[in-house]
Amino acid sequence: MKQKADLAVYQEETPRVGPPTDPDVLLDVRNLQTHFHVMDGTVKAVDGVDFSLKRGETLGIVGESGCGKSVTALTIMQLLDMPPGEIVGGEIWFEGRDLLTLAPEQIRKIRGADMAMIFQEPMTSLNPVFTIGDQISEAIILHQHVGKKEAMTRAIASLRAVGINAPERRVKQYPHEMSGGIRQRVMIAMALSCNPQLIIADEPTTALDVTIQAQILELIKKIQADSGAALLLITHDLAVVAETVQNVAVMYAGRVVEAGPVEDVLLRPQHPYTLGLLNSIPALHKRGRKLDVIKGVVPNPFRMPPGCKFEPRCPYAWEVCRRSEPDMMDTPGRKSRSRCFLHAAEGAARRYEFEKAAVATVTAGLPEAQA
Amino acid sequence: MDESTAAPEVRVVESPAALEQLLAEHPDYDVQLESLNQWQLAWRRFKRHRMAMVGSAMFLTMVAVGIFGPMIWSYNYYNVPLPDQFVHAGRPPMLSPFHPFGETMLLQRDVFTLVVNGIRLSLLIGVLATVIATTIGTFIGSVAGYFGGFLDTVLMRIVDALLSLPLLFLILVFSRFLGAGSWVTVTLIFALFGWMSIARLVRSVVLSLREADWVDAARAAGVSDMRIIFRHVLPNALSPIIVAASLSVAGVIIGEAFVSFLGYGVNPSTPTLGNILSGAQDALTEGNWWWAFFPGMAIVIIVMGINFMGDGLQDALDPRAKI
Repeated sequence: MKQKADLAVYQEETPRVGPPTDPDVLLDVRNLQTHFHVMDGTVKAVDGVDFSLKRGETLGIVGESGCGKSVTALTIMQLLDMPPGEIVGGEIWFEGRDLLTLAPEQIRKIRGADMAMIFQEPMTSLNPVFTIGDQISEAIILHQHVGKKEAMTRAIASLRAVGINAPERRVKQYPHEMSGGIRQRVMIAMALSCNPQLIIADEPTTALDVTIQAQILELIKKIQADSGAALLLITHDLAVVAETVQNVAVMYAGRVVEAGPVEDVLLRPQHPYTLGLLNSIPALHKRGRKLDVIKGVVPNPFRMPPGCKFEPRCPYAWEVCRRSEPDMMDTPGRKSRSRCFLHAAEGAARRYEFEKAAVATVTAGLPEAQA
Repeated sequence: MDESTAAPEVRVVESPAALEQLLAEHPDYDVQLESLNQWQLAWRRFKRHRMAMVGSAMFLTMVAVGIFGPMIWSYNYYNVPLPDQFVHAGRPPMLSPFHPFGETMLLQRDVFTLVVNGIRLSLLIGVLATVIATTIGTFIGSVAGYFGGFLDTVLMRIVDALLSLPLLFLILVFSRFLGAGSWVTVTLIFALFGWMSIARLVRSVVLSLREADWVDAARAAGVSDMRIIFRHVLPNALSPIIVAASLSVAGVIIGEAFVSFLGYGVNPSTPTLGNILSGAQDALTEGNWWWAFFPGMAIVIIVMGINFMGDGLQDALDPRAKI
């Protein structure tokens, strides 16, 4: 695994036209906008998301419920119900093609074969009336054009790869005969079965209990490393992100607010929202104290603040933040980028306050500080 | 487990109690759990449903009579014996000459022959019309439910429109003017006007099934919409379809009897249970009760059998039911 990811992709300023110039870039999402048209109006669930992912790299998308991270994943897979969903704008470059310009027929050929998805709910993501062997081999038959027998052999092999005992017996079983952890392994085997370039895991451990979570995360990391596929991990759990991915994008209200290598973002947060998230993690040294929370609530999707979307909850906001919205900005001395005026010229004076808080938060959480 | 030993003796037991007993006798036995698929489970529940078994017995007996009766019973019902007097009163059930259900008035036809052939044709019409109607209804309902939107609206308004037509008159008119009493026409009419309720049922089931996570998972695996509908969604919707279809057989048999009784159905030269009854109308007042009684009983037994069976199927196919 490349630990030091090249972050040139985070630093491009002008919107690019055409496929990404770097052949190493597998997935390039640009200014993606997905809206939902509902009775009360339009919800801009994803409102201008940019990120890119190189071959074999891992990227985590974090954010609280409703920030648009799942919708981003579903948009990439083109699994949205349309209507009410609508992809209003943007580009999704995958393997040199813009997915948003492809016909449904071509998308179907890519789905399952070149990019696969692991879902959140293993208990309900398997069809109850088929054996798991049938379900895994369906995709294999579909994409790799092999016979039933060969497909079953490959299904058994992929079950073995995800650490399931006696796969020859398991393929003949129905989903209801398995526990949640085993089913999630089956889902991973299914995603893996056609050797995809990209694996999207949408909260793969949320529905599992804690001991199983660790196993599944280990497994995802292992298969990612073994297969060389890129991994897009969607989660609300910072611990999961810290453990699993190289790069991370923090989303808030439909936008990426901070992106960079995971150690920069988690140890040297550059956006007040990221700092808020880190602050609200329960920790040993906070024992006996009230949990810190980010004050306020996520803005009403129908009445988004005119300026920075985080401004109403941000302890560092000032009048600039109310007037206009910041772009993604470089952060001095760091590899991550942040959507915050603290990093613009006019915020320079206020940045000290923020940095102090960030350092305090992070160092308090470090093991030596707790000891 | 040692693979090298010769094929071990395998005993299958179904209940924990039976297993305990077996283990008490043979403590050295290896126990392996065999899992049952949903059909095996359903069959188990069905077997324990007493009314369902009674109903199936009734229905299957009638099916057997319909299939084998005309082969075995020697009176050719086309060969009508000449009446030995102008108005023949008909003869009651008797053993010699062998007319177990008696003879009809007027043409002296053997009622048993009529009933056996009537059962055959009535069942054939009922089953065929149901198969066609269920196929149409399942296709339209699942497509409407899965895709939703404009297609759903159009298809369901067609269903609404067809359901708001007075079906009985429509069937009467159609069978009067088309095909002149051929049983094929009657079957088609019942099929073409009988699929709407199945379509509504299937649509409602598919509407909820398509939101399931495994539908998204199948789409994510690159499975096409049509394949998702017919290979993934419909097998999950099979239980209500089977129940509705089995009950619809009874409905068509009664409907056919009704239409034929009014004289608009299948031509009396080919007996169905309905047109036998139609011919027997006047005979009742003449004391010739057996002409109407036996075909009437046949209808009752078939329809009751199907209804019991459908009831049992409903319970057996319900995955939430206890084994």
